[in-house]
Amino acid sequence: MSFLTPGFLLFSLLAGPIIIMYMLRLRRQEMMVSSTLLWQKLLRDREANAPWQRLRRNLLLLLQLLILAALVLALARPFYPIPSISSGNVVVLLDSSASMQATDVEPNRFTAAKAEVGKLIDDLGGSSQMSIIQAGHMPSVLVSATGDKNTLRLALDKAVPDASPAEWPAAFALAAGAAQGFQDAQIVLVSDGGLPQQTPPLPAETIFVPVGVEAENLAISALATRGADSGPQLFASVSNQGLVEQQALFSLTLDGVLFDSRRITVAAGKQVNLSWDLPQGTAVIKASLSDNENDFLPLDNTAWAVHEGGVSNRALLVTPGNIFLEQIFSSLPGIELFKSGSSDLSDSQPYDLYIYDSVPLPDPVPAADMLILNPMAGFGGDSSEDSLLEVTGVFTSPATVATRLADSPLLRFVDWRNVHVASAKQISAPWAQPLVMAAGGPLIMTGERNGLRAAVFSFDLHDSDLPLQIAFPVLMANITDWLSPGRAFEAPANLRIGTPVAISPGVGSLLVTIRKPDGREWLAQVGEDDLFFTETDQLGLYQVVIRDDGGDRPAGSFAVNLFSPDEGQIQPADQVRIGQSTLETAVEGDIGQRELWPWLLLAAFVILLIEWWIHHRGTRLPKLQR
Amino acid sequence: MNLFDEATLRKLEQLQLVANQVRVGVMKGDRRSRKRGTSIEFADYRNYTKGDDLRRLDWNVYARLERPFIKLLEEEEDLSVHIIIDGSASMNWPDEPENDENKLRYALKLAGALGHIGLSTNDLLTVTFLNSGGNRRWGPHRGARNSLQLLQFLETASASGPTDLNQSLHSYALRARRPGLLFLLTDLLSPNGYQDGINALQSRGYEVGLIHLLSPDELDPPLGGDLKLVDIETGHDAEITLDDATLDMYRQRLQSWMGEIGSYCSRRGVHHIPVNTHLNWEKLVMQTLRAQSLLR
Repeated sequence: MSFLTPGFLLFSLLAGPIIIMYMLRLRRQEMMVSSTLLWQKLLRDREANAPWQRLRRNLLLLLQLLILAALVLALARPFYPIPSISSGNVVVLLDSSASMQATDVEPNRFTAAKAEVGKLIDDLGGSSQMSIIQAGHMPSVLVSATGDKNTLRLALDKAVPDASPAEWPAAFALAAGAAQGFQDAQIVLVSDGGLPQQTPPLPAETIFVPVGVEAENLAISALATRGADSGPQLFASVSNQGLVEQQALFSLTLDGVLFDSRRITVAAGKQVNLSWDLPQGTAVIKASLSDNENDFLPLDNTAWAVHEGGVSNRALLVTPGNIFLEQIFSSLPGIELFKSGSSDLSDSQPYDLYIYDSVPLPDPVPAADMLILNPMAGFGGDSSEDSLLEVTGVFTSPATVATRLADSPLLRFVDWRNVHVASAKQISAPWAQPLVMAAGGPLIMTGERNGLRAAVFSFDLHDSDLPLQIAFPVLMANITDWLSPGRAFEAPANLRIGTPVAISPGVGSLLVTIRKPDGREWLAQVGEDDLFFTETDQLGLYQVVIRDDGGDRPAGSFAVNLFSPDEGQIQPADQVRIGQSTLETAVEGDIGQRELWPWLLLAAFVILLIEWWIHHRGTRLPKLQR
Repeated sequence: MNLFDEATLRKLEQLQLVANQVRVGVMKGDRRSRKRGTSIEFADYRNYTKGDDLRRLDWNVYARLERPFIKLLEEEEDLSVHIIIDGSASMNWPDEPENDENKLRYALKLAGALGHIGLSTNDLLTVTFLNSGGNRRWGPHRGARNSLQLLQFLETASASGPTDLNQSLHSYALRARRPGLLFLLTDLLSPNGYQDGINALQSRGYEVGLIHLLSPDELDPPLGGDLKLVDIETGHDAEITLDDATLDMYRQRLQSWMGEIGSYCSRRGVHHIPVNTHLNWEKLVMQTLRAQSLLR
């Protein structure tokens, strides 16, 4: 046993004052009495107790000296050497990747790893320091170079596992940086393995502490949709990355309704591919594996997919022929264009946007958003009471009479000054507000009717030079955005934890709300700059809602999945390869330090209690003789 | 030391000492004797027997009854009164001579009172002050005119040193010329005991009144803590840790000691008057001693 701060042992000199004070305290006060005759009798009676009295007196002194000794020893911080895997200054690399959430050790590998780090903290020598680096998708230093065990434990408590692969190169870089700050540092890697094949070497002696025992894991390794003529198709892969054949119940839920459930069997190391034809309009698909006891990683048992961003964006263009419209709608993002020559197309599949160009409107008009260009007189709607619009005549306007009216977001970035319109129709539509006026009447009107949006161009594009202007695609994009907001984000199908998602809300949007899988909401005001949603830190479904003048509109959703073969492979490694060297499992060989001061403090307290008890019990002794 | 005022003296003069076992007086005194004597007080008649002094025949009765009767007259005798004051240092306690609870001051006052009563009733009074430096003796004197002398004697007394009660009483008994009523004023805190001394006095014919004086702080010591008690008389010390329990024990010891004294005295026919010096001495004289039939 040695002492970390032996200087405090000098405090033991306080024993001198204690003994002196004790002797002073015991110098009895002299009192004259008329006679000690009666007292002598009393003393004779107490002679029987005399040894105890003397002992008690000495016992109290002894106990007080013991308390002092315990306190002084505690201050001097004695320790005894214990077997430990590390000594000196330590940099801990704590693996917090998804596979660390495997439950093959109770309660899970990450907690077990934290317990290992806790032991390292306990064994940390008095003059040694420790840094803890969490290796997740964004490695971070939890606590840097401190010998304060409380700080270390607090920092360790805050560590939470990620649901993604670890970014090992970055974590190694942090560890290397931390180790350089120490003299003779050691890097302790607490992990279940799963390191990439190629890792940079570390500049200090590295010790590997493995966690985990089991390898069995059945994972949904892929879930994706594809649009086809018959409707969307779903593909799923279930892979068994364990060592034995596994069975599980594969359940498929479409928009919250159970669609299919089947029992699948996957051989060890193999993969099963499944596919479904989904009904039209399917948006959110959830696949889950259940009823499988021999699966130790729950994270990859659930996967989400969102077909086409969860927003239906099929557009039907009804036109006798308009190359401008066909081109522009083919190139607008998020629009799936269908063409037809006749408005009387009795298509069973509803579309989200109908574009009528120079054709009579059907009767009744479809219950969807509409873009009407150059409406034709004599369509079925004009006879009914609630006709959509009425063509009352034709006006020819001078080439430059077009006037931009409203300062609408629909006209943002639209330069109307060089647009010329040869002739247009006079249209009566009480629900619509003119957006662009000419001398003879409105050229473009927009409005909402029965909750559905419609835009009306009162002129034939061929009678105008608008399609040749730079304003045309901007105007059409703005109007299409307004009519059918569509996806407001660009999210790849295999979105991972930590991948940012670009949000591009349509014109007129004010606020973007993203509801995360745990129910919390991310809010962003729409401004000039592009928005990026970076908090993709959970697995699951993220729902996007965009607010504009008309209120909140769902704008689709996206899913974040694990889909990582490396993390799905949860078999713990006995050895890891770092740089050019291979690390075996660490054995407890080096010398750690176990400090004794808490026990000494406890002992001092207990002795204090005993002393107090003896002191009080001692003075009550005569009463016991009655 | 001024022991008495005039009013107290007048009160005392109303009192008379009583000895139950009356000693034969050699002088005519103020008290009736059980003996028939030569005073002028008529007591009784008895038949004449041969040899009777014819001078004491009641001739008037003889003339009337023609039978000789001897007239018996009261004999009046004096009482020998002894007052012994313990002059050991322990009596000078509490250690403030002017404190009325001081045992010595109390004893001197009591001795003065008893002496004055005795002198007023023409008793033969001897007052002895026991002291390690040599006993001081006053008397024997009789007659009230000696009261002032007695008080002067008492006022000069001071306690010091140890006293061996046994030995002192023993030698007092041996030297006694005329035993009588003896008041012993002491705290009995004598290392060698008191019983042999009192036995010796009794065997010489003394009627002993033991006035046992203890001060309030001896009966209930106002002490506590780790103490080294020093005997004011012998200089011996006793180390003791005083707490409530020890004090309780002390009171128990004291009670049993007092009990021993009481039972000894009742066995030996000694008047035992335990006195707490907190008690007003006049009250003691006027009430307690009268109740004990030592005064009337």
